[in-house]
Amino acid sequence: MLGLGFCFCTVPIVKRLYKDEQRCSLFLKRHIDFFNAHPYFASWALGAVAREEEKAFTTGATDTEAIRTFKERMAGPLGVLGDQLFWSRIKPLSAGLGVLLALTIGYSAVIVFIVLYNVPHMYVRVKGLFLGYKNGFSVTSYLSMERFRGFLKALNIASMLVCGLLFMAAAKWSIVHDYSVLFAFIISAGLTFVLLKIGKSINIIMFIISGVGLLTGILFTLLG
Amino acid sequence: MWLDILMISLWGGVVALDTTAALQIMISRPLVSCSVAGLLLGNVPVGFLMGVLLELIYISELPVGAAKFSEGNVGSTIAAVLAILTLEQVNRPIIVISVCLVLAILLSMLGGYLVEVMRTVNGRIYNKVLGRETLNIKKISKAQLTGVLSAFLLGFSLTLVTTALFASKPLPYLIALIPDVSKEVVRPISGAFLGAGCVFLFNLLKRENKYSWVVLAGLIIGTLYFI
Repeated sequence: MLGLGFCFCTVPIVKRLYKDEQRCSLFLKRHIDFFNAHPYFASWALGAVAREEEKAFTTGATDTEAIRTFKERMAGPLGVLGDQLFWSRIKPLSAGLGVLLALTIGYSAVIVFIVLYNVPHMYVRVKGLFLGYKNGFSVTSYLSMERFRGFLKALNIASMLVCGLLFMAAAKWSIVHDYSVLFAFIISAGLTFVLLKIGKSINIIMFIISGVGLLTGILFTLLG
Repeated sequence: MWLDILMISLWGGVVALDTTAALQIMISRPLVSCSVAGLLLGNVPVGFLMGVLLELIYISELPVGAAKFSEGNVGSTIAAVLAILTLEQVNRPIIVISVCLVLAILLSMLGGYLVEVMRTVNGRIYNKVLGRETLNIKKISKAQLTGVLSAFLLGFSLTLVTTALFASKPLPYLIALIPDVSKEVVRPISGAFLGAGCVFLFNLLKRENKYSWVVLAGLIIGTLYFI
């Protein structure tokens, strides 16, 4: 549906450029193709497409195949970049930090989580749109992974640090509740690690983990 | 209670929207969505606790392309709602929270199945538009809004049906049947969920990460600071 979404986003452009129905239809057909990029980075392609479409309109160019090809070729890199930055790094890091703060400082963790995630998110969306519009096809020069290398490195280090801190904060939270909770925490962590290694699905793991929780409770109740 | 269910179902719709169809500003993450559910229903501590315990479970389930995934966001929100509404009728927090944590897994699986159905419907809408001889702004806008609306309806209807079905009578009744001594038996489930969540997070972050050893630094600092 991202293809349709992209096409929908070009509606303000087509409204501004083409008044006759036939040219409007051709424009929309150009932009409804399959487009599978990362949703945040799609704005980079959108900005560039807006610029190139405007250029084609003002110069009266009829061959717009280059715009379609550009979009097709941009989808892959934008998807990879977005997945690497957001789905694999910023989202888990924000979530981990959110839970860490939730266990230590309480409710304000929710606000911290939202802000921490959305500052880079909004930056990428807005910056990409303007950068794409300013540079047109040349926006590709801003998309090399090398540009994000330093940021990724910082994210990698920060995320691992947060992960370590989270383990200990969660252990403390468990001790405060009960020793049976701490025991279940440790056993479940170890078991989840093993189950993930052997490729079990999350749902299967969670059912097993629920069983572990129950067994722990039974064990501790029996032992008094 | 019915007004609560209607209000929370609208929130369920917003959560489903934020998950994939619109915004994606992460208000759909369990930490936020369960806390907001708690705020709407007047029990923030339980909503917040459910959110904390469920936040990391589905962290590695990515809504990428056509990948199948459990609808952990809506599932968790509904589980938090069920916990809050049940606690209004039966005051046994440990048992209610533990049961609802397990219910969250089932609800997420059901949500995942419904997402597949929604994607099939959306795929048909997209192909129908794609196959048209001519296009205009109205057709595009209509197809786009239908797709967005279907995501909202998925979250809304799933929340409405499950809360209306379970929170009014069956769940409080079932909870009341569980002997009170069982709270010691189910208490460790929260720790088990937290432990699993931490490992899911670590497993996702260590992929292609040359700095996995930094986790040890975190563990040491954490031990000194927290323990």
